[in-house]
Amino acid sequence: MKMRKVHKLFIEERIDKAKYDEVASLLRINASKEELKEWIDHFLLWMGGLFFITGVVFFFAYNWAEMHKFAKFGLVFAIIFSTTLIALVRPLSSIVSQVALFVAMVAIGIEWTLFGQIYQTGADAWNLFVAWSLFGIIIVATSTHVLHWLTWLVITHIALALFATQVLEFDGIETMIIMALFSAMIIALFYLLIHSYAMPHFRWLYDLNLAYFITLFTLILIDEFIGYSEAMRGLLLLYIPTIWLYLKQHNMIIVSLSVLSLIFVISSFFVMLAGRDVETKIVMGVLSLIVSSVVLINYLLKRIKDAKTH
Amino acid sequence: MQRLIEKGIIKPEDIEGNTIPWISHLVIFISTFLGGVGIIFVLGIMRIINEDTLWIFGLMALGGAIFIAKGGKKTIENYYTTLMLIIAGEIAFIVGLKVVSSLDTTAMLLWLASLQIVLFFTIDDYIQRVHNITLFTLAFVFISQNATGIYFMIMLFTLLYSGIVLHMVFEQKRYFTQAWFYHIKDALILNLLILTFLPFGLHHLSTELTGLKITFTFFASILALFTLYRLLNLYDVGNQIAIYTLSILLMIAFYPTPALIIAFMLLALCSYQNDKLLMVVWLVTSVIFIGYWYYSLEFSLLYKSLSMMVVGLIMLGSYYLRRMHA
Repeated sequence: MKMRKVHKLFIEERIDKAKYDEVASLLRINASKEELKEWIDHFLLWMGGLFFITGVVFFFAYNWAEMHKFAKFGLVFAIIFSTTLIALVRPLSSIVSQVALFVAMVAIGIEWTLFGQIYQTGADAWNLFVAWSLFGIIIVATSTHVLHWLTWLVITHIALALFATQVLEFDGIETMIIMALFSAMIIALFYLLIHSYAMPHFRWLYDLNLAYFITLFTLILIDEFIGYSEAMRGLLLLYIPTIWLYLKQHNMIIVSLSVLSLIFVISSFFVMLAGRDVETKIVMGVLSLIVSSVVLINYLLKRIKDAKTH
Repeated sequence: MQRLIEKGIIKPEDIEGNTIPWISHLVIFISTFLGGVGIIFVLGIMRIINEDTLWIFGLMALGGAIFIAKGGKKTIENYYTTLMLIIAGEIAFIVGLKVVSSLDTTAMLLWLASLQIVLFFTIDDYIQRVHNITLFTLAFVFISQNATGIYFMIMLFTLLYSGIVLHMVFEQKRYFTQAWFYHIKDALILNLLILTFLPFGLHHLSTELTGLKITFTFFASILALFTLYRLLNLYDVGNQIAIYTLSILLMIAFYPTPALIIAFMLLALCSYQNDKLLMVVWLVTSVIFIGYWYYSLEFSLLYKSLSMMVVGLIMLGSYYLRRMHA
């Protein structure tokens, strides 16, 4: 974003084009030798960790019959133990600890899969993900790294979706409602962590969850409009304050998504009002789409113009 | 930015306002696309246009768009109308032409590609140009009907776009101050991402295409070695012969999946310049093609997994050794 802003200033001739070298050096557009070395270190560590744990996943997927079951369990336990030990002896904020904890998080899942594979418990897939998610809480409770949280959130969402479909026998929209409710709880948690516990590095995950939540809410609402559901009015009443709060956000990505959501919701609302006639539906839908788009994109561009560069 | 203010290069009020994020561009494109398609439906329902007059409406819409873009005021309403008319015009013109003149697919795609060239040089806008370059690429890729031809086009465009991106990154000083810099750079990077996904539905990586693979590997290796050469000299790195030897060995090993060489070239560019879009393309391309490379190895899953673990351990060991020396 910084570079694009500078590019814009060059185009608008607010920066003299002859000063490019000075600007490039002040903004450090290209990495210095030290930054390059640090970049290579980070790359080796993360890619090494990823390759190693992916290899372990495939190794157990092969289900090598000649290896004794306790050796298999022992190998994964050794990975979990050693990576956790590395994270404990080094500062938690160091990159080595972060990679070690990530490997441990994946290894927990491998251990549970192995348990199901060896003892053929007959358990459903949701059991594995729920167990994985519960044990993953220990890691995310001690870590502030976004990747650990992101991995845990993905595992938990899969667990929730599988539980809703396999145990509660929910359909697609009901499952999405459950996911949206969980996502709302996570948003509240991150809001608390950012504002009450001064953890601004969670902002990225907070925004990601906001985007995820509004996407789910929009899809649910459109589905309710299409199906003329009775829950539609209640959801619409809930949507209005939600979108109002979203439009107040500082992050332009969230504001843009909210605008897109509003365009879709307004258009589908008018399509619903058009009744059962297909031709009327198309005309109403297109007209409301064009009018709402012009108004809302105008608002969006005004917001972007008024916003201060981060 | 603060440093630029302190040095007196920009004034504090210059940092007011923001550039349009990519997602806002996407929102504008989605809504204009739906509006453009919707307009054709509405006019069709109202019996203003029909199959025979569709291409005339398309030409009128395109003409109207160019007229508004060139002569109209720079308001959001005009901007939105221009984009919407272009989408409606393109669809109506190409589909209408096919209906009235029974064009074959190749001719239709050539019309589409030509239209993109005209629009690219007529309307100077970010969304417009990204969309022009993307449609131009897709039109040429799908002009070839058979898998070999499509793979050839994918190879050609991947090498061409990678080369241009490489040139734009290393010669940034020359182009950065031009208004079209991000229009073209972003469009090419986005197209590299699209080209990464395209081969999967086409089974282009079959054994019949050995000749093309060798050609792709050869040219991709030249681009990657050039990148390495520029970076090694820029940073004055020692042990250059060892690095070149290791890289060439890796390139030979990656022969079944030459796109991996392009992915690693993009990785080298990411280390030089922190471009988030490049980073995304590198990550996606690497994950897909590393997966494919392992899949195509003729070993059992046991050996594949063990080799993966060993590669991981070698990388972790290299990190440890580097830290020891530091």
